[in-house]
Amino acid sequence: MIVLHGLRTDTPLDDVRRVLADRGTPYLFVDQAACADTVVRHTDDGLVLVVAGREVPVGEVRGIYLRPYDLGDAVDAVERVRLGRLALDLREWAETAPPSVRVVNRPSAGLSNHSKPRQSRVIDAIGFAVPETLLTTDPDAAAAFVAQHGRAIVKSIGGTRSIVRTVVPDDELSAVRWCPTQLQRFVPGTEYRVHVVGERLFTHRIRTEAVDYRYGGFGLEPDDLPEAVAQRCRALTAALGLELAGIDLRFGDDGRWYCWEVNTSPAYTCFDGGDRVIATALAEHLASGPVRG
Amino acid sequence: MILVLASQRDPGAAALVAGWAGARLLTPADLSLPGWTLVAGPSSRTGRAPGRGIADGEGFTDDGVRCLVSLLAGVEPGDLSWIAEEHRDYVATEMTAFLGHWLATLEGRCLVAPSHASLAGPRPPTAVWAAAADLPMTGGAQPVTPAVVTVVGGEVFRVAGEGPAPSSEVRRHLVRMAVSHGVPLLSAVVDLGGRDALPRLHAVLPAPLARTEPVRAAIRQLVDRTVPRLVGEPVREEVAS
Repeated sequence: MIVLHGLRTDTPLDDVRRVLADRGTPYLFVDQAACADTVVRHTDDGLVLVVAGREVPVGEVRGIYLRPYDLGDAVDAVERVRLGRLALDLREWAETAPPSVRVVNRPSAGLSNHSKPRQSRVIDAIGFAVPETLLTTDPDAAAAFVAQHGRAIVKSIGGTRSIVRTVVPDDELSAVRWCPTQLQRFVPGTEYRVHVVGERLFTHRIRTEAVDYRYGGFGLEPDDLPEAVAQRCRALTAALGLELAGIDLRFGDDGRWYCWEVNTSPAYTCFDGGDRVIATALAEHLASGPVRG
Repeated sequence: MILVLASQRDPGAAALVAGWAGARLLTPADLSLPGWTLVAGPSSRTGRAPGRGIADGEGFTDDGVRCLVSLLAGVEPGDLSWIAEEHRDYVATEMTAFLGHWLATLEGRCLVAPSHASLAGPRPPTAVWAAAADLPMTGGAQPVTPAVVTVVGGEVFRVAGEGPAPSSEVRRHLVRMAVSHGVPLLSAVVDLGGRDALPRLHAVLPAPLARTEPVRAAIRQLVDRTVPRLVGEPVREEVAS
């Protein structure tokens, strides 16, 4: 059985559900929006998932795919407390699932992109290029960095989604004094998004004029990476303890492969064609037995 | 130099530093002052430019940090009263991410290595801690006789709660738990149980509490005993608090 957790309106999760349903693979959808009958029971032998009064023995679970949302103000205060407790319990249940269960992704591994520069240490160790980076609260240091490189980008340090923007010499940077800010040398080149599912890669070249393609027009084109770069993507995914990753790469005009970030819960749907190859690979991965050694 | 990373709302942290010569308190307020510069990426490997930071409102270079003691799991929006309310969540997340990276660069100089989940150490599920302690869990139930304890090295101190002190057996279990994860400083809530009930682990807290003077004295001694001095650093002298 595969356990899916999140919202039915979440397309990446629902696409996997549809593949499992089409194939007749047993699954259990723990819907965040309708989980009044779901609890995680604490026993002396560990955590046990109980849905509608029925225990779900972990021995019957082959895979777990977690994509929960913070429902915030969408529910009242009492329900928010209950959902918060359940979310924590489900995370701990998935985290403590035995190695025979493929968890996409183990919650502890999913945290690595909460600090991009910290994650970059692993990216660098695997062999991808990482651009010169400054983290600072000093407007003078920020201005000197921008002047040195001529063009820099500013983006969030943490996991909060932010719009990447470009800064050039003489831009106003005094606001950095209030909060550490990340600046990186601008690297001209071609953007790629790579989804890694286990050992399988799905690569798209992104055609865009925008600095941040997510907030500008873009086109996608399936592509293949040089084998050495593909292997680096697999190694990076494994090093971060992930089963599913969305890797942001840029092939620089200087001939080097840069890696910006590894998304640990990628919303891959817009990269998936009508044949849902990524969702299919993920469904197969969830159902395919023990995790790699 | 010893840095104590904590919320400015944590009186235990302020008292820890007040009684400790050479120690400085680093709070989220210091991250809203100009002066922090850390290089990352390829420039960081040259070894020529130590990071610069601010603690207690004054600058330092991070090659002068002998030990960092974190009493902070992450920056909370409530720590950032000087930031416009609508920006506090974002700034708190950014500061936490920044500190997570910086602490990782300090490597062995953190008394407890940060995890991705907490600036103060690992945060495995309670079930994992309980297994390491060889104690049952309270599960979702409220503790009958809760006691909040702080483990410092091989010692266990109660910092909150009423009723009897944790038995020597419970203390041994808690020290075993901390040692098994390589964590010399942590705080936990234990249910000491009743006359017939067994002690149980309720939770390990996201960050340690230094609420009492015996805990603070033990932390100072632990750091002094276990963390090597930097070349040329003077021997610490306790100052009256």
